[in-house]
Amino acid sequence: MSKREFRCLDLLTGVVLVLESIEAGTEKRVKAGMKSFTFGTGERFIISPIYRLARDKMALIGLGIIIVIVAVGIFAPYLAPHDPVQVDLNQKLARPSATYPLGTDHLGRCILSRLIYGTRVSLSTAMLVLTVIIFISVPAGTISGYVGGRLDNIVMRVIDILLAFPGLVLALVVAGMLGPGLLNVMIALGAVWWVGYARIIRGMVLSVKEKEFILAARSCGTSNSKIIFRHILPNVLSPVIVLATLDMGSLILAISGLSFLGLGAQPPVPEWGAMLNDGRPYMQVAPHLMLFPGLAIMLVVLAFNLLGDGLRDAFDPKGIMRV
Amino acid sequence: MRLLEVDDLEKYYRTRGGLFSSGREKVHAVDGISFTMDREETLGLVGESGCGKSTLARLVARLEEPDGGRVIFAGKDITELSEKELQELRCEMQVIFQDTYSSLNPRLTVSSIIGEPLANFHVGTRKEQKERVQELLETVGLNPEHATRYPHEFSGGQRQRIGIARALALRPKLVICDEPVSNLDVSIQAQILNLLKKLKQEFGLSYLFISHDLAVISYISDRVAVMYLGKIVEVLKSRDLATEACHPYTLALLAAVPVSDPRLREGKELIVKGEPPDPVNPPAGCRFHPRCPWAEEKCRREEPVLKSVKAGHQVACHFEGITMRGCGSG
Amino acid sequence: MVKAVNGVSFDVKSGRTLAIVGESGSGKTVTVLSLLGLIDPPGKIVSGEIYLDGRNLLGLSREELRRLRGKDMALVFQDPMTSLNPVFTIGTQITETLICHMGIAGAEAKIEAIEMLKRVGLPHPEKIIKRYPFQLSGGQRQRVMIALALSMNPRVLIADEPTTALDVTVQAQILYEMRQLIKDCRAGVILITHDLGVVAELADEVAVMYAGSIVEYGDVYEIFDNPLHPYTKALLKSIPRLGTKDEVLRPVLGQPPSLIDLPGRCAFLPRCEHGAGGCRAGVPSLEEIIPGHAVACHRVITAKPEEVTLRALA
Repeated sequence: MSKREFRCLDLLTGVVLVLESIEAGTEKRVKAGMKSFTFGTGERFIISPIYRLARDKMALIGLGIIIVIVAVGIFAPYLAPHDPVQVDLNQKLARPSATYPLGTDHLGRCILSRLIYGTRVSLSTAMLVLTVIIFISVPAGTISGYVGGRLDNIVMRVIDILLAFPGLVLALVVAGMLGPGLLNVMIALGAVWWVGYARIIRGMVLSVKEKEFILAARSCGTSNSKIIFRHILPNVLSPVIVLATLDMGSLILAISGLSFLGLGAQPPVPEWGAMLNDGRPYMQVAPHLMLFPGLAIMLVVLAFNLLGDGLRDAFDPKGIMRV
Repeated sequence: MRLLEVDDLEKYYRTRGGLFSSGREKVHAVDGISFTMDREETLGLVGESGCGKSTLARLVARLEEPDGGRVIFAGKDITELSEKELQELRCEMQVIFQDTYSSLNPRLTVSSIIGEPLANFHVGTRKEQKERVQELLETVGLNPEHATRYPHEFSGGQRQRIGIARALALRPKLVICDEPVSNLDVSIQAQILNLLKKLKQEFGLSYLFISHDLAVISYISDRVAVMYLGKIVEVLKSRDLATEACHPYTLALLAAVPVSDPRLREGKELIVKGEPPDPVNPPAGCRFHPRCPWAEEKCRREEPVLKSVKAGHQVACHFEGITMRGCGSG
Repeated sequence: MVKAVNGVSFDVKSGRTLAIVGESGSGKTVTVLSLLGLIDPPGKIVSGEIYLDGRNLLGLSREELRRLRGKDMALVFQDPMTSLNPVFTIGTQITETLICHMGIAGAEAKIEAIEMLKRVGLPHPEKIIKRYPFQLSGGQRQRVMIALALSMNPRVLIADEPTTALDVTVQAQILYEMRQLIKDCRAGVILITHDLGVVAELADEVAVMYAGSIVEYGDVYEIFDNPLHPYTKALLKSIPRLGTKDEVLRPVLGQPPSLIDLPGRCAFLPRCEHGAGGCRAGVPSLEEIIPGHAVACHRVITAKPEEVTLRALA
């Protein structure tokens, strides 16, 4: 009986994968993500979320699109054929051509360049808002769910009240009060959006709290903070990551929507929603003004949804499984 | 030597009153329970679902706060301990749970699950803790090389062994076993019962063993306490269970155990009909009287208290059960 | 590939109860799901035949099978809460079934429903029919399920762990009543259980399953008196019995095998205390040793019949 052991570090979860062979026998090749290993019969190895994600074609497509878009945003100055804010009224509403691959808008600005620069605005705003949301909702939801009692009641009533308003309308009100501007849109969306997360997190904390392993931890003297960080959060966070990924699309849409209404990015900042808004009066004569920003938003939303679905499968409770 | 004394322990749950309903109702989950346990003794606690046996276990481990009464463990009243003093108690008293799926955190490896109590109390260096985990795995009959695996890679019986290893890590005096074999297949159940027996010998443990299965209880315990609707109705030595039990409910439980030989099934008689009443509104008088075939007027009015009928045998019945037994078999 | 059930054959006679007993993962539930044509893809029945009154069920269309399931083959599950519709009263659910399958008129169906509930030992059936499933206790729900199943006068009644979720005193009552009901209704009963106590209470014949195959099959008295397969023996020695505190349980050691890629030998061999070299010679087939008692074990089969009976009696 020969014994071999492979170890490798999973980058996503930080889990050390132990790929061990138990009994040498007929060799067979097993593909785990990008790598393939040769194993004998009766062996076991563990597949981590990142490997499972790597096997999911649709999720990989989503991830690929996102990486490309992020790269486009980073290298915008090198990729954009024109200055995104340069007005050239002689060229206004031009159809796509060699100089302007996606045409120009009502002020003669290059749509492609604006889309490329718009990536930076749309993506970074959405990411920032999401970070803020997570930083508010995770502590609020966790503490509310774990401590329970009166504190939970108060937090939940606040959440109920906030949820009673349609989110986007509330964000609209907040943004309206604060005045137009990207920063204010971010504050408005964060203030409204965390509520749903906090509620979901609280629900998950409550269900994890009911599990006997929490009771077991208490009975062997584990402190409250350790219970939260070691037992509750790891079981709650992966669904939150999935949710956040799926929500990236909605957030980009919401930011675009608010910008479309004139509350978000202010001219001449290139932002996809604002571009849609700018194109609206010319819908009949120059539909490409709305078509391309619309397509860009759709593509990003689709990509995040594909990745989110893949993550959900990869993070299945049996996150790390034997094959 | 006395290890544990439970004195008039009570726990109420309030049913949630709706927005428009006037009053909240109290459910007496544990209603004035007293018993004692000696060192290196196994006390079996048997009863049907909803009788409060699991609540009692959690009260004794102080995983829930009692509403009345005392739990004296190794000379200290643990219901009055502060959070900090409670930590000390955790070294001495551990719990094994029923659900082998939910009692192990799916995201931790076996070694970090079993090592958790050791880390909490800073027992030795990391290396020593690791060695101790290996040793514990071997003690409960698992392969020490599997320490890096995750709980879902094990079968139900193996998971329960992991739970047992975790409970033993701090070398406790008392282990509370809350239905540890109820979810397991028969052959695995027998393996775990034998393991628990062996560990008791090896480490001088005491068990408070909770189960709904009278046969399991009688196999593992020295004494048995029978619970019905939040009260103990009978306490006796488990070797006497089949012959000396005399509370009508204990007799009903004994009669309900499925026969071990198909030839015995024909003559079998049932003692009770119906199902346990709602614990929100327990019957007045003796709680068992609506189902008791021998109930009389007194049983409907007065609640019997648990009293000794002979050494090591207590019954809560107006007719002291013994005369009942004559009725039952005759 | 997982071979959940492998070469399982049995027959159920009308008015008799066959208990299929095995531990979790032994394939007992998959066996009955196959009988009912309820295996979900990607699972499938690779080969075999199922005859009900001489008709091969595997040759029937989905629709014919569906009609058969409610009427000729009735089912009682472990958890009655999931098999009763929570938004209808008990009365509605029983009368609907009666009207639909038996073609009885409304008023008559209601009388029949009350009659049936009375038969399964439910007190105040006229009150019960007005209640919703959640208002009943587990035992009452299981009685309703049994009433519903028997109301069709089925040819076969399949009971999958019917009392596992119930308290012992309630289980005892239901077993008691089931025994009477089965006697009366003349249906063939297939009882799936892990509990040998329940087998001893109800069964006429027993099939012991291990790793997807039947390892022992015979009359209930034979199985309890003369268990021949080492697994059956170990199973019987695993149950604690009352008043036997000083007797040590001798459970079969180890874990049941994974059903993925079962080896081409006796599946019980790794856990068998009598295993010998000869046991590696292929999967043992179920062979009748004594009339009405079959076993799949190389060692028992190769021994002379007289020797086996003598040893078993001793």
